[in-house]
Amino acid sequence: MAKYEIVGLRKSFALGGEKLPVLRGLDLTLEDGDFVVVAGRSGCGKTTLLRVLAGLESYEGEVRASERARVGMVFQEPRLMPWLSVYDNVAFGVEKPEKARIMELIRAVRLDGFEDVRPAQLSGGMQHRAALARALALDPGVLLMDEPFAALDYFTRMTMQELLVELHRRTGITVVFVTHSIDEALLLGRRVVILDRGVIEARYDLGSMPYPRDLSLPGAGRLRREILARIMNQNLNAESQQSESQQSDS
Amino acid sequence: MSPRRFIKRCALPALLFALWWLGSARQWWSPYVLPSPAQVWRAFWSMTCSGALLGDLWASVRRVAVGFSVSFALAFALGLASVWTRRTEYYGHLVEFLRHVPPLSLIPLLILWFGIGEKSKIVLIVLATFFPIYMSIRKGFVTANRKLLEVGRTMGFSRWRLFSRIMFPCAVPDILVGVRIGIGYSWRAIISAEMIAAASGLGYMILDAQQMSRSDKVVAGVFVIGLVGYLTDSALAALIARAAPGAGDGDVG
Repeated sequence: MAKYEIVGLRKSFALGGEKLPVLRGLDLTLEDGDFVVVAGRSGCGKTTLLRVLAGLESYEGEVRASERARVGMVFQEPRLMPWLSVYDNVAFGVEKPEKARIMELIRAVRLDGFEDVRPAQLSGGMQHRAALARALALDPGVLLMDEPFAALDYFTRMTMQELLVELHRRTGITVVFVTHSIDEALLLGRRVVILDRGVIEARYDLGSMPYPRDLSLPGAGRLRREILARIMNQNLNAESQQSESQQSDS
Repeated sequence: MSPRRFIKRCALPALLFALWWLGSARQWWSPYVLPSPAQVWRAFWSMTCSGALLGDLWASVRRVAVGFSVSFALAFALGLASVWTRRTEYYGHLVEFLRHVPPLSLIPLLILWFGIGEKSKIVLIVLATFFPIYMSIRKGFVTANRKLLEVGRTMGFSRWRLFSRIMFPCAVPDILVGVRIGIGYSWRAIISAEMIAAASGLGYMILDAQQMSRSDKVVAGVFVIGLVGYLTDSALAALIARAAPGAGDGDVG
């Protein structure tokens, strides 16, 4: 497993001839075995951060990894190859797949018995589990997850969250998890970072809260209210700033 | 096939055939304008027995096969090259221009350049089929799912691996559609190709029958061309349905 250091990360997108900054000098360190949840309102740059780490975007600044390791990316949609079976999808990124290992992963995401089935015949939750197994098959230094459970129904989401926590505790895999759900952040993260307009605005250490978490405890409730207030406030600030800049423009 | 579906499929052809038969028997039109079914059958049978029909059919099928293969190879290579280099601004307009030139209009030049032998016939078939195949193959590569390609990129795939593992499988349904359209077009182009001083082939047979005022042979030839085209296309459609059942369709999520 690797340790990652992100220093002064910047990224802009060209939008109709204008440069739209999305990340503005973001700093973040990922420890070995970390579980960092990145939360924030849409447009704060959380998906872009993940895409930079996945090697899908160019960037300015530094991303240092302690060793050369592959990343395992789980997108919001499963993105399975529709022409391949579950087995072939899980083995997709592996140079020389070993049958025993691929089957072990398929069992770990509880898809055993479905290895010969095409993705179209699976339910949404099963497709996401296959996508998770595919990312794990790469033996990644870090597992990157971009709102992976956002499109799932309540019960499936709960099952997936439990599965992920169990996996993280068992293997100690480093995870960066993007979400816009505060409950999900509190349920999963050892650390929660709140992004605002391309920088980290707040960091919370949840190391003292043991897994599996119970969000009905008073401590969790307090934390949830605090984070929610911060993000809502952020929202207001952003809007008032926008209207100010519009006024100064005119 | 259920009997109901069979009846539905055969009703209209049967009606037309009955009208044809009735009209010929009652002499609603001169047998020269449209010979009777019996006359056409006799012409077909005598040509079959003499072996002339089979010979012509074989000559045409060979030309179609060669012309289509050349056309497909060219279209695949150029379609791939155009996606690989992403430089459509240089040749896109040229392709669009050439696409709209009817191959028939080029016959005088083709004869000048390639003579009146096999070469000019093959070239004509290639010209008639290249563009639909090229467009279809190109579409397959261009519309290869970007989200799936990103999966390969996060895995550190090389360009070749991205192509062979993701882009090509994504394009297979469109390539197969290109094959189907291409074979249909080459079969349809055979008559124009065999208008160039041919001495064999179904197109030649029809033109020859025209000059001999043998409408029965013309109609028999038309039937054979239509039937062979229909059968090859159905066979291909069935093959495609088996080879790529729904590959690339729907949402990949």
